[in-house]
Amino acid sequence: MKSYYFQVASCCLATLAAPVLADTTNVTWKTEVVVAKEGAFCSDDPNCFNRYHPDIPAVATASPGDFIIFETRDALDSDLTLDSNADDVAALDLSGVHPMTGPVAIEGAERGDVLAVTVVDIDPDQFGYTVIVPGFGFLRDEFTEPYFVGWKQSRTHAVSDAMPGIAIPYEAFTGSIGTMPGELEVEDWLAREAQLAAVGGIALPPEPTGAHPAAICGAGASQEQRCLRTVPPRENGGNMDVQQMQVGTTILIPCFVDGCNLFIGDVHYAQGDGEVSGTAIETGAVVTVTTEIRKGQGEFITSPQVEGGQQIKDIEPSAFHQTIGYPFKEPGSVPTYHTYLESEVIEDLPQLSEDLTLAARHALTQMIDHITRTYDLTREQAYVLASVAVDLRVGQVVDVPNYIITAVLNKDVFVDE
Amino acid sequence: MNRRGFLAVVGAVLAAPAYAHTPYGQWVVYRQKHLLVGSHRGDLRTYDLAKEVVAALEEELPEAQARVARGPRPQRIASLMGTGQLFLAVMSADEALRMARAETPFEGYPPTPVHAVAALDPDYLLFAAPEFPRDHGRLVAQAVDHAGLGVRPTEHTTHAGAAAYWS
Repeated sequence: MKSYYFQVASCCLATLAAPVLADTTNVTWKTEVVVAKEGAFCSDDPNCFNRYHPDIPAVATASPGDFIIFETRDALDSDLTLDSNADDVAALDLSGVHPMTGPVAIEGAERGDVLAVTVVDIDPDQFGYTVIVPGFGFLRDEFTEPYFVGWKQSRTHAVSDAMPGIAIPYEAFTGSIGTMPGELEVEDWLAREAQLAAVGGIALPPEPTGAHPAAICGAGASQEQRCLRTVPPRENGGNMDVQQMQVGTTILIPCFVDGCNLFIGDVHYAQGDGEVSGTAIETGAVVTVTTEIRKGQGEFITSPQVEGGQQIKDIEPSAFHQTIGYPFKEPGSVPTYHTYLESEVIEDLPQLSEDLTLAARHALTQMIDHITRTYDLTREQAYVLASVAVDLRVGQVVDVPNYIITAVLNKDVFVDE
Repeated sequence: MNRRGFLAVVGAVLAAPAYAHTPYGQWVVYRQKHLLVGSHRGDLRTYDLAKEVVAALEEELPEAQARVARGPRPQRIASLMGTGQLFLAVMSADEALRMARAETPFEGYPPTPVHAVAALDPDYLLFAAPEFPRDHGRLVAQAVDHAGLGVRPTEHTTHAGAAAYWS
């Protein structure tokens, strides 16, 4: 009898199992447009560029709804590896930032539209890095030497031999995503940035060295003095470095050329609000997005906006430590951010009025002190940790003169807590 | 020129052209502050020797605040030297020759000639950009010599300051 039941059960199981054995792999419905990575560096890759100009042609065309797959490079187009060190950072050539993949023309999109880009997936490389580059970063006057942290990445966490006891959750987003500017935008943006540079502000003029495509933006090329740098984010998006642009969110970007010419690059495996050391966990990745055209909406949406849901909660810590920053300063000094204003008034003051930049600095320096004191990390390790796991947030902008920025440390990153 | 003058000129003169080539002006400050000695991961012998050169400079010219810069491949040395961001590098004689002629693997880079400061072993030399000031070349050659690290280069165009020292 027992044997009979066994036979019946086996028979039924076999019947039930039959559909499972069928292969679903070959049944497809998506239209995919792949923008592949070719060659070792951006300079070798026809699908890569690192300057903005409307003469840079689209390398592919997609329809709204298509799954567009961007194979992206890290922000520095680097050759850094897990065994790199500060000597490798000292030899970085920053003229190559940021390698962008694309651009991709969207059928039916026109100047004046808005492109709604939904992030479907971000598959990171196995390796990422955070560096301190001398002269760059929010505390560049304090951290003046190169520093390197290499991360081993999975789809759950990133860990590093240089950051013992710490595991950073996977919260990837596209550090850079945008559309190509038109001729009018190039004209306007170059003019306003030149105006800022003329009075000593930090604005990066066109730089043909290291520019790609060299035939358009390189030395001697027709647009060498009109190809925009990718460092500042602008109305077309680009290097926004906003961590809330997680998988599942939709990023709205104005279109300035027909086809919009969408590009993506500079993926961050994780980043705190502020990206204070100048780099997040920088990595290459495969990014999948879909698009929708919102006709004529460029009249109302003139800079990028983001639509999302639960994602903004998902990246919140379950435990935190927070510091409170006020716009305080040392009397007799002019903060590095204010030097171009040449305001003698502020030099001898012990604080400034309604100044969020100084408040952010105060919150961050307290946080670095807290991390070094509490977790036995060096100041460099603390600065790196703050860049990837501390969120700078606005507390209030009404209680004059002391507006508040807070720094929120995600305590979930400490493995033993 | 004394040692302090050496440092001042490194900052004021050498770094000036680099401003036009680097995206972050303050990155130049670092390259003003330190005398970088280039090497690359494609030939790790250059890295080992560059570290020895830096140790010699720290001993004899501490104000230079020398440190090693290791590029991913030899083309990075051409890129940094060709844009005034690097003035000293350890390379093999053959590699330096090909860089000067923009031959493989330096196609796509302008010819980047370099002048020898010291021969570190039969195959590798310390090179300087031609615009590296004469006095600096002399002081660097002296430091390398005093450390017992290098000898007079004989088969390459020698940097004027180094030639003055070795003569």
